[in-house]
Amino acid sequence: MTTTSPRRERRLLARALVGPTVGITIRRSLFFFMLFLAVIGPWIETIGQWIPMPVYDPLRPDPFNPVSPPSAEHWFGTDTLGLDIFTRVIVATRVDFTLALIGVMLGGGLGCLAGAWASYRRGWVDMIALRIVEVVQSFPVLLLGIALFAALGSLEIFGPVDNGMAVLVIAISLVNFPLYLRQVRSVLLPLTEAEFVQAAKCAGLGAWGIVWHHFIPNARGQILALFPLTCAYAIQIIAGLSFIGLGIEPPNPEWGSMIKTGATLIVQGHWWVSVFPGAFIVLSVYSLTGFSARSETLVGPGGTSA
Amino acid sequence: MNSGPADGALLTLSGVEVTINTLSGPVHPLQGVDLEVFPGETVGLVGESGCGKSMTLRSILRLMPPGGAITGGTVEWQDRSVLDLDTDELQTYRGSEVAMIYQNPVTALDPMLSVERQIVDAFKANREVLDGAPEEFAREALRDLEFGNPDAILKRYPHQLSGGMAQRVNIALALACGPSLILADEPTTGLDMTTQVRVLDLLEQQVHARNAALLFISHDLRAVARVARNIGIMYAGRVVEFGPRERILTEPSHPYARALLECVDLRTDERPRSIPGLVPRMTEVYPLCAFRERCVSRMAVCDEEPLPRHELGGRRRLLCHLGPGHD
Repeated sequence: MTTTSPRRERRLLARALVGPTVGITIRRSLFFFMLFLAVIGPWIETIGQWIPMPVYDPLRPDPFNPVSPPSAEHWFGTDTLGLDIFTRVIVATRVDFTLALIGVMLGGGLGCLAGAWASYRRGWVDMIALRIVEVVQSFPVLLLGIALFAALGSLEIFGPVDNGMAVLVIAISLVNFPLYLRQVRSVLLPLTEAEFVQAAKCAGLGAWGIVWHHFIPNARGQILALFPLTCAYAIQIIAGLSFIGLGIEPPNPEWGSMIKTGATLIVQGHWWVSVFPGAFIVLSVYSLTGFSARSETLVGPGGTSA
Repeated sequence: MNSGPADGALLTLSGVEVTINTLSGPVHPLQGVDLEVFPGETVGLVGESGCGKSMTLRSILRLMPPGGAITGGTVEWQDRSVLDLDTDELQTYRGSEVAMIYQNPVTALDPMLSVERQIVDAFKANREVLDGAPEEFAREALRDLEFGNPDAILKRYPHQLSGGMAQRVNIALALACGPSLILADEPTTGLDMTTQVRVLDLLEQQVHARNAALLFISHDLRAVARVARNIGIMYAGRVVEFGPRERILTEPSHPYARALLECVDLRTDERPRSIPGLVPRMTEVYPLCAFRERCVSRMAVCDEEPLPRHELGGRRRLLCHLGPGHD
């Protein structure tokens, strides 16, 4: 094998972003489009002044125009309060993406460290870690969320942070912690007796040194593959909890709570109120899976497919 | 059995016993190993697979496999007992005073980290003060091991190295922290014949240049004979004969050592011989001689009395009822 040349590195980077197949390329471009929406979300009104696009204040109701179907003025129609769904769906992108990201990074990060530590220490540390995983995973996710909201929802202990958002992040972290712990632990378990770990011990590296310098990098591929999937899962959890009225409270835009607004209208034929936010959930989850598929292109040493 | 640390020895093992508890019962890979390594010298240990060579090295570093423990004897480093070191002292002892080179050079390197990261990490772990950039030290370390283009090698990952290159990187890693003793666990077994000689010579040369001692184990008597001044023959968890190279290679006293030499004697045109019988199972403890079932010189006393220990002077030692005087 030759050393990675700059040209080869560029090609690998391009392949990681674009993807090896058409389907994956579509999903990844879709993701970058969603990411773009998440970035511009809060400034959508300002942007609407420059390019011809019917955007409105996502929080100002229009009492004369409730539940109007998609039209040139309201591309995705309006809801019961006359709020413009097109604007709100875009603004909600950032809320869902940010909360999912923070929750997954927090819970996943702790899960990775705990998993690596458990696989390194084995014995009773490993046993306790696995029992915690089993306890958390024995709850249905939504039930766990409801319980958390019941316990923490009314406590104003998060300072300036919105209470609902804080509890959502905690719920997502709690769900992700065991996922990452299990995955990382199972990948790293055979490493304890690996020669290079022995060699690292011989070189005088301490326990944390080995976990940090050798264990975590060796689980990189699995962590990278798990990350987009769990983000997609987290978006579903956020939407699910908001749908049953926990988390982001109306009128703040969030896909799950928007679906709830339209849930009773759909039988009357007013489909657009639920369908557009629902479609955005589907699209964002679908686009994120594009990074887990074939993610082995990212996992080899030095970003090469080994 | 224990005779206390020899004067001036860097490392003294006396009567080291190791027991590993496995699911199918205890295993006793070491049953009383005696060994001394003096500063700057090269000692070789030879024996069949399973005779406890690797376990001897592991007990020197106190790196036991799961379920394993040192159950008897002492390991002394200069005047300290290795078995009494606490976690911090043990970390300093490993790497800075004793370093190890493994049999399989590629798996001994972390597949996910570049060569540079691994060498730099080793420097950082063991040297509190570095007068210069660690990357510069890494480059120097590779240059010492005759890499023509260290900068390119530093950027590589283990799968991009050949076996010989990987083993030279491992040697650089082991030498990185300036240990006074290098343990080498069959460092050339996984390499081509031509590469073996080169790596062996480099290892010897670099160890001597640093005035370090080398404890070299192998089942290849020729490789050991090439580098070691003193050679120990291991059988069933004991060093059954120890002595200067010339003595061991020309007139060994222990029947097992003789049989071993006959196996590798390539001067005759006969087919290489093997030693009849099987290596004893290490699930038992052998207070009597473990070789007697296969021994051509078996006597009545071998089945009755525990293994005697003959100190023959000049660091020669023999564990056999025959004693040194026989022919």
